[in-house]
Amino acid sequence: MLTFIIRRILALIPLLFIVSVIVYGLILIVPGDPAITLAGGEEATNERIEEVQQELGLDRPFLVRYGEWVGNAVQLDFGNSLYSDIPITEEIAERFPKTLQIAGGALAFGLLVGIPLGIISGIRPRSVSDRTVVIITSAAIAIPTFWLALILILQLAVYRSILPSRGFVPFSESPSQWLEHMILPWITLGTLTAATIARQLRGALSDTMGSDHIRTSRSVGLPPVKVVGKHALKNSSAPVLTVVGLQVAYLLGGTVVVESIFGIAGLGSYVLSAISRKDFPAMQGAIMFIALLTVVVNLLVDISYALLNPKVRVE
Amino acid sequence: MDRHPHPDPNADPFVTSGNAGALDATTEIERSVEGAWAPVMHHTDEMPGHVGFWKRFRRNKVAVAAAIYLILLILAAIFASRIGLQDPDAQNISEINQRPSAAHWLGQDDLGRDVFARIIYGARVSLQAAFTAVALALVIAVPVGLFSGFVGGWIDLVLMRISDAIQVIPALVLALVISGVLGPSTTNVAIALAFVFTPGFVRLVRGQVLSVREETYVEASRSIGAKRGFIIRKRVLHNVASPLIVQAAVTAGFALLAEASLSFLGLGVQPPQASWGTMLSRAFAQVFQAGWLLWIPGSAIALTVLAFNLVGDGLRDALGAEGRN
Repeated sequence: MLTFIIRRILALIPLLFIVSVIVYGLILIVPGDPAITLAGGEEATNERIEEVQQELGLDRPFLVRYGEWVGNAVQLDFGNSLYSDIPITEEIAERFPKTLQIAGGALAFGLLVGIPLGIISGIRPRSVSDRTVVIITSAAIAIPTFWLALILILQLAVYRSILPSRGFVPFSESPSQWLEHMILPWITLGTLTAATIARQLRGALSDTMGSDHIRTSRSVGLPPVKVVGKHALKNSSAPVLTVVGLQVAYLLGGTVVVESIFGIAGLGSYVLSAISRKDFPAMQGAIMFIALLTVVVNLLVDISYALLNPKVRVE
Repeated sequence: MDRHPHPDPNADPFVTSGNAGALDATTEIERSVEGAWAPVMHHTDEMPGHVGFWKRFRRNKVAVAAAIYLILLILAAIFASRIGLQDPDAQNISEINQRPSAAHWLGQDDLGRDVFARIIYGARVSLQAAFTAVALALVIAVPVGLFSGFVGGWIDLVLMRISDAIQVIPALVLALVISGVLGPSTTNVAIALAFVFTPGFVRLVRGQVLSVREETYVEASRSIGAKRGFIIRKRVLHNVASPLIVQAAVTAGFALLAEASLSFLGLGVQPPQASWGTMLSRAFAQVFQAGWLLWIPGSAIALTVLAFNLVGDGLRDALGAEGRN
């Protein structure tokens, strides 16, 4: 098991290396002279252009700059923001907890709603309840995440003032207000996750229900609750785990939209404002951090996989 | 909103084995979302599978309805200027935020512009961006995927690692960043999305190449001295075409969604040009005055994405049916 984990971690190094090349290479596609464009284009003052040039070391060769950047990035130092001059790592550290609360809550919502729906439809494929779930999840998958947010705001915050339409209150300040502000972001972001989990579980469960060992446990008279709860669900958990791994990238990407609509200063809105301010170092740092997170979560998923299924360990 | 399909025929067996058995229409949708492509379709020489293609596709009424909707939408978008629509940019300050009426079927927005005309003209921009993105991704991905699968070895390894790396960055974030760096415009959105979609297509093509390469009939072609180019054209492309068409349909839906998100966030199509995303962001700014305006572009996006997915499912069933029973 330990060698499996070590092997997996080692495999991440080339992957993250390529990610870093892509992320750092973004500066190569900036139209025109990067220093002028990043300093604000036509209106940029000569001072500002020089400042940007200094800050990004644009007068030195690309590979030298890249080498320095990676050397620092390995120590989680992404330099200072062009906009605020604050170390990017500090800004990320301050914003990330909010994103974690949104994405974590959305994942929890996805599991809490998706697993029961998946079980309802998976244990009796083609029944009325199964078809209903399939229709609901199809709709949930086609609805754009950001539109769902807008409609929820319209219905629950504008027409009826049940929930606040934007903002963030820390848990330590007021748990009830924290919850009020979190509910809409969680539902918005978690709906697609719930639908995806429900569908994946449905597929896995309906297969498992037809398998020999489930038929055997049924025929020897085990109560249905026990058959599903103890045997069928255990065998269907692996696909769900895969979905959860894939969903992490979606959830982190989705926070960009959700945080900007709900006005929450998390990592997602940081990426967005870095893009619109042409704050290159902040943008690179934030993407690198998001990629690192995705990779780490997928590693954890792989490891739990290997714990569930020993076959995976010796591939 | 990473609805980015990850079509990887070599994906972990868990993903595909889960639903390899039940191949009813409902599980199909799910595969289109997760992109786990299970059935490997082998067409032999003249693709007898295509003989009954229309017959099979027609049987799926939902897919047919979705296809008709898409065709009508595309035609309306192409001929928008000739089908008697009102000027999408004509403002009428005395009639702002008007609800639907006989003169304005979907009402008027905050500048008194006709929403119906803007939806159709918006479809033009949104569909164009989506189709360009998918076409561009295919043009890059098919040769790269074929090359990677055929050459194998370390080149294949490097190309696959690059695909992995691109897919580690959430699709929406990557598209936002590329579009933002290039400077937001309709063309640059399409370029950004094409970049994001390419790895998925590369994997799909490469996977098909790998699975076909060892088949007896390909081996036989090789043994009688067929050239590599001939094998690729005659044997491999035939097998790649079906899954690729399906994947392209589903990806077009995702591209539409992504374009709308980018434009909504201000990093895609730029106002005053109407696209479904910019219409939504404009409507959201008016949420307290005319919240109902949110429903129209949003439903247009949702319906069209759903239609692309349903057509994709229909194509999948119609193209791959002979491998099933």
